[in-house]
Amino acid sequence: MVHGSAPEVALSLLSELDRPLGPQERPPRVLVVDDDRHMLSLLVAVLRDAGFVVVTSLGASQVVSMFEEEPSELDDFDLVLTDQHMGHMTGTELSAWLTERDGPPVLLMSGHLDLDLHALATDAGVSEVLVKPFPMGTLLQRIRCLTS
Amino acid sequence: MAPLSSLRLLHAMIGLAVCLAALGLGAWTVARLHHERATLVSVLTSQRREQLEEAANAVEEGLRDIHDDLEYTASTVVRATSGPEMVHTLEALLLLARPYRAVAVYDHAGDRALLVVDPRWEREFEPQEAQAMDRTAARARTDIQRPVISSPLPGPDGDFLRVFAQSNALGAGSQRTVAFLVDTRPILARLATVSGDRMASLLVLGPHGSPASISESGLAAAAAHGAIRPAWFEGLLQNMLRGEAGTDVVPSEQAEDLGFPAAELLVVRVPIQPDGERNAWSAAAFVSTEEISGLQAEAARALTITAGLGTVLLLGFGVYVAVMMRRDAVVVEQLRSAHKVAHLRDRAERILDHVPVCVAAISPDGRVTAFNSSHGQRFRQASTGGTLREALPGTAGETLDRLEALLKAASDGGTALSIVGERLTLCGEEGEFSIHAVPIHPASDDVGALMVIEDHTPLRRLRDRMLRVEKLATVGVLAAGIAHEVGTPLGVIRGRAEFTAQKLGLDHPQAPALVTIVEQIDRIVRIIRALLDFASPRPVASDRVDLQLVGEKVRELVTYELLRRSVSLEIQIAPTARYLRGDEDQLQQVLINLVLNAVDASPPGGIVEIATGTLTAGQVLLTVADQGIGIAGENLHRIFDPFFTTKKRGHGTGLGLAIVDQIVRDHGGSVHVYSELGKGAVFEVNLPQDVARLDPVRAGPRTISPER
Repeated sequence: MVHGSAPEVALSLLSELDRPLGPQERPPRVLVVDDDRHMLSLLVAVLRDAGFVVVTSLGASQVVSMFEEEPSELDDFDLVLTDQHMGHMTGTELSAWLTERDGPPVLLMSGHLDLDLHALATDAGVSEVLVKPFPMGTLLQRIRCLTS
Repeated sequence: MAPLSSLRLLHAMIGLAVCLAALGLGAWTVARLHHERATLVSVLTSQRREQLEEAANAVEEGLRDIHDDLEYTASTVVRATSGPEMVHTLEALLLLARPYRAVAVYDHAGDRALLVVDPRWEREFEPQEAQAMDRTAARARTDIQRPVISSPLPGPDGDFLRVFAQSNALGAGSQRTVAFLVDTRPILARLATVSGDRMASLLVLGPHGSPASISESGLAAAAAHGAIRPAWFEGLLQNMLRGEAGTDVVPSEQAEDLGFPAAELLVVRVPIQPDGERNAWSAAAFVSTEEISGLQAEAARALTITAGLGTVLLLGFGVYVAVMMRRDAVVVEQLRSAHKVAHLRDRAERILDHVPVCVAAISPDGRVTAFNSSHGQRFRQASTGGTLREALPGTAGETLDRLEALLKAASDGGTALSIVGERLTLCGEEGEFSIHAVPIHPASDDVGALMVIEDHTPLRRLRDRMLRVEKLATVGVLAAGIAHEVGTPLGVIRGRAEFTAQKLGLDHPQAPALVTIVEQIDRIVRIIRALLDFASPRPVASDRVDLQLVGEKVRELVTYELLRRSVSLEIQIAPTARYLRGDEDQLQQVLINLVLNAVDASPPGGIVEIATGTLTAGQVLLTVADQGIGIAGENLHRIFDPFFTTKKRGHGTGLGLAIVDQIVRDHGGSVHVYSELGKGAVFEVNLPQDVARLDPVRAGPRTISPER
């Protein structure tokens, strides 16, 4: 589309980054899964800066191994933020695995959203899909929404 | 074929009629001949009978006169007179015009007392004649008061003399006898009308059955006493002697016995009875039917000639009919052939007319003699009768020279030559053509070669269109790949810039630079999303779309642009072309894209007009027109290609019109552009109309609201 983009829209959610946590709130625990180190480090920086407790993994299969070893940890996370396209296991596969075990809600990131992925995500119990690139403000807003 | 069979039936009927007529004529002829013969026989018989009866009556009269004279003489003269007075009376009697030659008177004793001879008689009275008179008188004495007639006496000039005698009693003991010597010739001569007839033979029998001299000699000889004669003739003679009248028919072979010709013989018998049954004479006429046969033959000839003529006429008519029939058959066959030829010609023409190429017949002297009718719109000005140059007006001279050279080379070489797939201008319109020159052998006056013009322009258009579709599909795959691959790095860059800007604070001197990074990333994302939008198939909703409403929404959405460029937008939706069935959002996208392009091209103060109308039934024509800079001719066929843009780098994605084209095609419509540099542009969108408008059940409010 060739119109409708005012420059101020891009940074409209920047204020979300500055919103501090309430004093009585336990900091939410977020498990971030992405095989791209740059993306992973960005997400960790943004989320920690916003006050979240962040645990990272470079692949969905590692997450599965970890939870299989310590099933009790499933309850320790308030949200799983995962990329869709990764080496051995996709984000939706992970989501399906977690949903089956009544795990935390899943926020899925993807470079491209089409009807196939939409259907796949819905079936896997994904709570929301974010299409990359997305404003960090939007990310934080959605995470807060899902963890509150 | 119906006319042929009915014609044949007619001919058969005529032939049958001719045969029947010929048969009828033959039958009539035969019947006529029979009838003719019967009629002739009957007529002849009655004629002869009449003739004979008349003659016989005259003879009878004459004989009765003799009898009367005899009676008178015997009773009165002899008694009243005597001596010289009686002689005187008798001489007077002889001098009267009577056929008497001599009179003798006999006394009571039977002796001849007196003999008076006719003094005018030219010859001597013979003694044997006196003796015959004496003998007859003697016979008369025994038969009182009755005439007695002798047999004919032989004489030098024929046996015509006969003696008539009668004896009367003149009181007791006194008997006188009178005898007349009678020349019967004048009496019997009355039968001459019969005997003189060439065709008839007469037989007269006297009182004693002997034939009279007048009889035909052959018949007389046969009838003479003691003669040998056929039985039928004997019977005939007996009938005559009995005094019977009648007619006999003698078969031809019997007639020959008497020397008659070999033909049926008619015999008419008449009695002559001056004195009742005594002294009866009889006459018979023998008539050969040879005459009738002659007449009959003549009639038969006449009839045969008539019948022959009739038959010849009928045969001639039959032949005429046959010839006519044959000719008719030939004519019918010719008609059928002509019909067949016409049919073949018609079929050939129809086939040729529907062949989707232009075929022109060229005469050896270079004139165009025929065009098939499928040369269509492009060659509608083409005409026949003139040279190629006249037949294709508006064609470049160079092209015509090439065509003429091609025709000449093909005719000279005897093989077909072609110009294949070249861009040429024919009849004022440019297009891609293949042209074949086909020589015809042997050449006729009006066709020496064919020029076949194939117009590849529609094919070219289709090829271009397919290429575009192919391009789009490639773009779609590419865009999806790019979107997927660049999403993460772009996300990282954008996120880092955003995070850094937030950390530095918007007041930091480097913050705008970071914001620029974010904005530019967003621009990349927009381009990619537009590409994806454009290249990925989207379902088209089938809603009732009100173009008036869509137009108003578009006006709202582009208000900012209109104000910025000082361009006004006019919307003229025709009531008859207001509703469509389609996807409202997508159609709105079409209008937005077209209007933004138009606004972009318009000078300040310009007018952009949205209008609808109906060009053909069931179609809505949506036009967006501007008065802007227009589009260069060489760009016209590329403007719907993806990424084709004339805008400054960075100001357009080059996808706007490609998306328009895509959406319109998804709706089953088509989009065309008409423009010249400096004269504005008109985009025409043809879309199927909302037929449901006529259906109150389906024309309800929108029920589907697709997500945006």
